[in-house]
Amino acid sequence: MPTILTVDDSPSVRHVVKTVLSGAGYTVIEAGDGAEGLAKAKSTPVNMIITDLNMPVMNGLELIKNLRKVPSIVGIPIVFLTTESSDGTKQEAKAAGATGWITKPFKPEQLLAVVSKLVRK
Amino acid sequence: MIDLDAAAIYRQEAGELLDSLEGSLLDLGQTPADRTLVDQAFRALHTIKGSGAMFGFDQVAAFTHDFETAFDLVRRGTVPVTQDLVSLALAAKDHIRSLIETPDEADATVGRTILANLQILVARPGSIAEPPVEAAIAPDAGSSETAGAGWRMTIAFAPEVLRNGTDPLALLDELRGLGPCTVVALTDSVPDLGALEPQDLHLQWSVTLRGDCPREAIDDVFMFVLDDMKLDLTPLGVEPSGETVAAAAPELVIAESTPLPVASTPATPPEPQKARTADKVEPPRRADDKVSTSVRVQAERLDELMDRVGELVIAQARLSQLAHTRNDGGIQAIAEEIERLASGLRDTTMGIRMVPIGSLFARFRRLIHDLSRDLGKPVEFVTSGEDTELDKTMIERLADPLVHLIRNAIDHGIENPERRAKAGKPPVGRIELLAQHVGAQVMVTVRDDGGGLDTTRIRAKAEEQGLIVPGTTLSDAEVHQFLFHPGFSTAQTVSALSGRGVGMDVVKRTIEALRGSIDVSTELGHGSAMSLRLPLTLAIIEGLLIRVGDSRYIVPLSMIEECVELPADQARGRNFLNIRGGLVPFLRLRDLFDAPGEPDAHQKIIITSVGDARVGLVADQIIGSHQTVIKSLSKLQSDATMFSGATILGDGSAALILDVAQLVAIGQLKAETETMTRAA
Amino acid sequence: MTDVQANDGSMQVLMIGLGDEIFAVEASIVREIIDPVPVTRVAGAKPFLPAVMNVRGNVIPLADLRIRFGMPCTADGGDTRIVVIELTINDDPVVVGIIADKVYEVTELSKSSAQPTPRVGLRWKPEYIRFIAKWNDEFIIVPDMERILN
Repeated sequence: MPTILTVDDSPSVRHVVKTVLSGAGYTVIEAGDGAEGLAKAKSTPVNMIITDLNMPVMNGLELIKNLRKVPSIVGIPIVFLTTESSDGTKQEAKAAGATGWITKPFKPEQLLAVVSKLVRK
Repeated sequence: MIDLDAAAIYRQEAGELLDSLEGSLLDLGQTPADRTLVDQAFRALHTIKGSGAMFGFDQVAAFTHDFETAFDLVRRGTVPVTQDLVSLALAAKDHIRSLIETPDEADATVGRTILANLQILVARPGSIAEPPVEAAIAPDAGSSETAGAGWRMTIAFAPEVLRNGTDPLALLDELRGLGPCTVVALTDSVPDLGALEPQDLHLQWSVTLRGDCPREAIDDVFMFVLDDMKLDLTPLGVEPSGETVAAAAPELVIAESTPLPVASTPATPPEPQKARTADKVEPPRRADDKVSTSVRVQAERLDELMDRVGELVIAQARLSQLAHTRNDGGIQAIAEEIERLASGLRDTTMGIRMVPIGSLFARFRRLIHDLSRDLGKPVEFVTSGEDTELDKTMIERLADPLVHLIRNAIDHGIENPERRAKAGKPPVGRIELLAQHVGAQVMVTVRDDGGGLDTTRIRAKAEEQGLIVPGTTLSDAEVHQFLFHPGFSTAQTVSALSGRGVGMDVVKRTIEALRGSIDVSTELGHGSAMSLRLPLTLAIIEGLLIRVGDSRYIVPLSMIEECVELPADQARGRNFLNIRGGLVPFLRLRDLFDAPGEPDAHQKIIITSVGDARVGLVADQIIGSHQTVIKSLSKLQSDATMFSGATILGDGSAALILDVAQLVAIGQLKAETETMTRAA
Repeated sequence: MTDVQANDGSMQVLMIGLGDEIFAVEASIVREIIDPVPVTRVAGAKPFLPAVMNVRGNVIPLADLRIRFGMPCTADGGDTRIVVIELTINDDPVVVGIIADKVYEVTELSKSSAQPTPRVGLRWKPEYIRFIAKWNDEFIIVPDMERILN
């Protein structure tokens, strides 16, 4: 079953992501900031990473940039969560190597749609 | 799918975020130029908004959004941080809290007023006109196009899409989901093997999609990469330039059902990616190898755990006692082992319940900010010892007493700027809140650099209220104790905040209920300090087991200075003891407790202290130290003030815990009377 | 206090003996009946609440109603028991052990046999009595425990 890493400083967001995705059969692991996310992505094989952009310690943009430098993460979908749907942020994140984004607030089915679009079971 | 739990998690999380927001805002009031603080505040708002909307806290999300939009101008440096802005932001924070916690009582007009004021504050040419961010999200309404017959398209992704996690094959599969497709791979731009960058995508595709399908559905498929790719779309039936593309590579036309040709081409990029994915799934998953460093536990569970540990400690004491009476080395060894384990478990459990007091301190910064503004007394707030840990229940119960002491310090302690100027003091007053370990206790001090307590006035008031006979000799410390007398207030003007004479007695009672005590120290003209001494935990204490007559009692070890033998010549007569040159009054517990029978030949004195006051307690026997699990006394016996609680001994009987603060007070009073009687 | 009475006006009570009198305690407030345990005297408490004791890990007060009612206190005999009751006083649950010289039986007192408090021949203060009922041709006092203990 695919493993998905959710990186967010908000436990409630992680909770939702975890609830929705594990309900759909994915294995979900969590990290509370970018640094922890990077460490987990390196130590655990994951099939997709969902990250917030606005986080302490290491923000989402830096996380994405750093992740793409890790050989095993190249080609793994990285989706960022964003409330600002300004194109600037999106372009910046995509330039950093993001695959896609989910606009907060999201409904469970929107999250599932994006995940199933990018991860093959 | 989102359970009720989630809303509770959000509430708790938002609560913490609001606390942190408050901290950042208050810090900003001190150092308005600090960008990290602005960013912190912004991030907190951002998360409150984002998660709020997700959990159905729509009002929260809407209000926070507007607030955040205005605050964004601050973040960008367009609008400076001012005291007004900080105050308004704090009000907004309060409003968000009420929207989350008591949405039914939250007043929408309050929210609108805050936002309106915020608009005025941040209003600058151009800033108000800024469109709300949501406007940008609105879908492009006018672009709806449909092609009844279908579409012909050429798809050219950016070369780096594979590295960035997009799987073109999956997207082609998605297209197939929209209708029957004919997919043709275009290999024109695939370079020679030598020049081929394996992680780049060089293929393009030509797709013919048949069926009634709106253009947006196709855009949706490519939503994440649409901006970076070339997607030429022509409705079927219209002869486009794209037709020539499809015609350019007729040999690669594949039926829909056949696997995509690219997969079999070794040099094409998707292959290594797929291989990697397969590799990655195989090794045993170690998702839990580094579990997060903290867990949330409901407070009740901690209380329950503590109760269980308390029962264990009592049972262990019984076991030890029983093992002692048996001449069985094996059982004694086990009893000792269990004693060691139980005391380890007790320490760990109590450790879990320990919380740094800083979380409590942070709440007062707002209080001081508001009081300082309302009373027109500028105040600098200094804290130290935030890391000092106390039992969480203790911290909760300390909040109200500290609020009271801090209010008093600003309201009565700190003088207004004019008076400070006259006294040659700096215009800004200073309130210090300190926590530190003092032996087995924690001392929390509220200190101000204000006018200090006016002992003469307190005394006059006490006489006026008939609490003392005029002319009575009293030390300053004793006079200050009147502050804690119910209904006692010396404030000449009764302000809305304090000076109504309610409170200080409640403060004292609360602290004593926590088995703590209050010391007052003051210097006229230079300020005063209220020091609360508190035990580290409420649940289990180290005690000294003593015997008085035929009953056993516990004295909290933290309040004992030393134990000495009562000199034979003092077994009768004066109730003072000379301890290294200082006269210490002592109380005969036998008399106080009305114990039957004759006292033991060699009586012991346990010297206890509360603050600077020392009192000796005379007992028949000192039995030894005892792990004391504190059980409260029934309120039916609340008039037994000499005891702060009870515990259960190894033999299963109950023993009372002495309320040392109370006994010291009794002893001091008795000493006074005796001194005066002798003087008279 | 009507909540302890069943709809048909009857109530279950525990009959206990104190000195030469017999009282009824509503069965619904009785938690358990135990043999006497060692008690610890509490100096400074009310005379009729002279001690505490350990009952299943909790320290609860011991109430001696004989002192409350000015009856002679006899030494504990073989029939002496402690009746542990739980009451609500000022909205707080309160657990108390009451000394009984003898515990008789649980029985049903019917409301129809309940008498208004007589004004005659009782050392009881009327406010301590919920009502008096007739049982086996005897007058039985159902005391108001909340008032007596508070």
